[in-house]
Amino acid sequence: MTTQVSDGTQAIEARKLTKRYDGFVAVDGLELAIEPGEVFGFLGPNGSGKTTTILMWLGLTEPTMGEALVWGHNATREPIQVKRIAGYVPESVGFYEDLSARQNLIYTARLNHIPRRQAEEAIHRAMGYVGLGEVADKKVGQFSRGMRQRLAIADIMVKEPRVVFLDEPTLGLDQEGVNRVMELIQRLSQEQGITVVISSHQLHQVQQVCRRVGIMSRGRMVALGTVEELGQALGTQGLMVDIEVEGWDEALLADLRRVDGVEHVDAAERFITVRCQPQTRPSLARAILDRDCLLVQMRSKDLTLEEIYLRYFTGGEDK
Amino acid sequence: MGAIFWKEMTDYLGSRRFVVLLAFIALSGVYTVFVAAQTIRADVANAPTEMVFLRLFTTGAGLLKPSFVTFVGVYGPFIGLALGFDAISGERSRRTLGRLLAQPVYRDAVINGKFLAGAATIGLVFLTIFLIIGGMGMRLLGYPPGFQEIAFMAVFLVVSVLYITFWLGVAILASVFFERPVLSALVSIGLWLFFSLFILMVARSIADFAVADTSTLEQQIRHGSIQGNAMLFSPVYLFREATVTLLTPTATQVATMLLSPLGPYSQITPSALSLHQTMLLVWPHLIALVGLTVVTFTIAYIRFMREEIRT
Repeated sequence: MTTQVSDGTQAIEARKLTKRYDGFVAVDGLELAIEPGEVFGFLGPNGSGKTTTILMWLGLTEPTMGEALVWGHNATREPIQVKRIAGYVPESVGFYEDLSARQNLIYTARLNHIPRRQAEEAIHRAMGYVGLGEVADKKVGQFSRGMRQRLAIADIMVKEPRVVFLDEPTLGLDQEGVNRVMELIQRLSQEQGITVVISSHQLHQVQQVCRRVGIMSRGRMVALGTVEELGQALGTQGLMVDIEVEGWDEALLADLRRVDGVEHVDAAERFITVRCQPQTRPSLARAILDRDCLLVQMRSKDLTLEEIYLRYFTGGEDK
Repeated sequence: MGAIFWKEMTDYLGSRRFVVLLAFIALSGVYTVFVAAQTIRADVANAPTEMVFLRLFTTGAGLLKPSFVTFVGVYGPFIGLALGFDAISGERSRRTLGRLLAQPVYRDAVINGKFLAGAATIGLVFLTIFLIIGGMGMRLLGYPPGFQEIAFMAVFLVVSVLYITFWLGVAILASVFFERPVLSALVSIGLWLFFSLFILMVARSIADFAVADTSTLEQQIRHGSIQGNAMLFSPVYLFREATVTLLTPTATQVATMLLSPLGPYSQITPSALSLHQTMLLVWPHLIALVGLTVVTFTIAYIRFMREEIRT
């Protein structure tokens, strides 16, 4: 876990950030620094404190202790400064249904004190960007979920934010919708250098766009790093190997357990599952052949982010 | 706050629910005045000649044809309730509150903007209705109102707007406390019922408690006075007493005042009052109405400012 001291260059920071509701700790001493231009995946199951943390960064919820900083502005003390540079797409975002998409964005622009002409241009550009240019004057009441989600992205673009918080932006979208939203987020970060925080409990969707991910569990960040780093951290704990063997017996299992570097052996039906160091795989094969058993297949399970998440999360659960 | 004010004002004036309600209030209001004018014309020989214009507002013909004042007192609150009941709860149920508060506006600008936009809308509506009535009155009565009458009407206009704004405050209060607009609407209608009807029972109970024995006239008067004062906690009766004082400066209706639930202490003197004298009489009512509105809105304001926003 990294604990970076701010020298004013961090886009988003949490310092000992804590939020307690009566008798319940939603966020527990969170330490986090996100660099400018970074796309950060904020993972964790529902109720793990992601939304609460985002709300504290936006100055919408007051921390019990610690600080939430956005470009050096304390979100609790200077919420207006933070809201000027931060865009926020809440989970299941809503719009004024009786107004057209354009009117909704004009309202946002006015709340941000953007001059009328400049706002109209920005809205035109943003609507085109998210692919809603043709339905700009339709009432939002007729929009599908995917369209609303994209409209929400256009909505935050109007104010030209420096940081963007998206809370579960892919929730309830079909695969195509998810892809479009993720692509937009990626472009936002690449083309405009916007710092992005995406909270999600669907890892594979976030995996493609995030440079780093942090996994929250019960208000604590239990893992932080790039997807590869997290994988390696787990890799040192041993690799899981599935071996399909015809006609295995207890003697073979005993042999396998004796192989150097093997940590654990388990068997069920035709499969033997071995947890071992990566370099021991050839020795495993040799042990099986020595017993004259038929080795049908052998494959090591590479850890997907899903598994990383599950392992860290279940680890968090045990504590 | 300007952006929120104008957006809300546009929403109010353009919303279907408001247009329906406005049409109902305006048409019914105009109808009461029309009936009043007919009654006044039919009885022109016996009627007093002073302040005839004001009688357009106070003349009713029984339960089914109430006077304009009664009409505003009873149904006017619904304008306020209709404007306010989903002020905050609506933002929540549409899930726009989080997005709205993530914009660089102070949180109180949201609730202040909505309240002021509602009050301005109420003012606009009443100004319109009064102008229509003024024009109608001139045509039906055949002469324009004098300066005195215009002044009384203007004060009446202000009192009406304050009264309805109080109900706007009640509705906004309910909208802050309840998540769902339906619940918020029901609760605010419940408060209206309480202040219109149940307050009678409450006031009587208070009076009964204070004066248990009402065998002598003196005790009866005390009983009535306590009951009358207790009822002034209700804006409905504040409005009624203030408007009756305002619109019947000639005190032609002393008899009905004596029979009214407000009791014989209602301050009517049997000669025409000047605007100045009337203002002295209704000033406390105005202050009380404003006070009640301020209290209501302050509770809503504090609650909204302290609320945890859970998008």
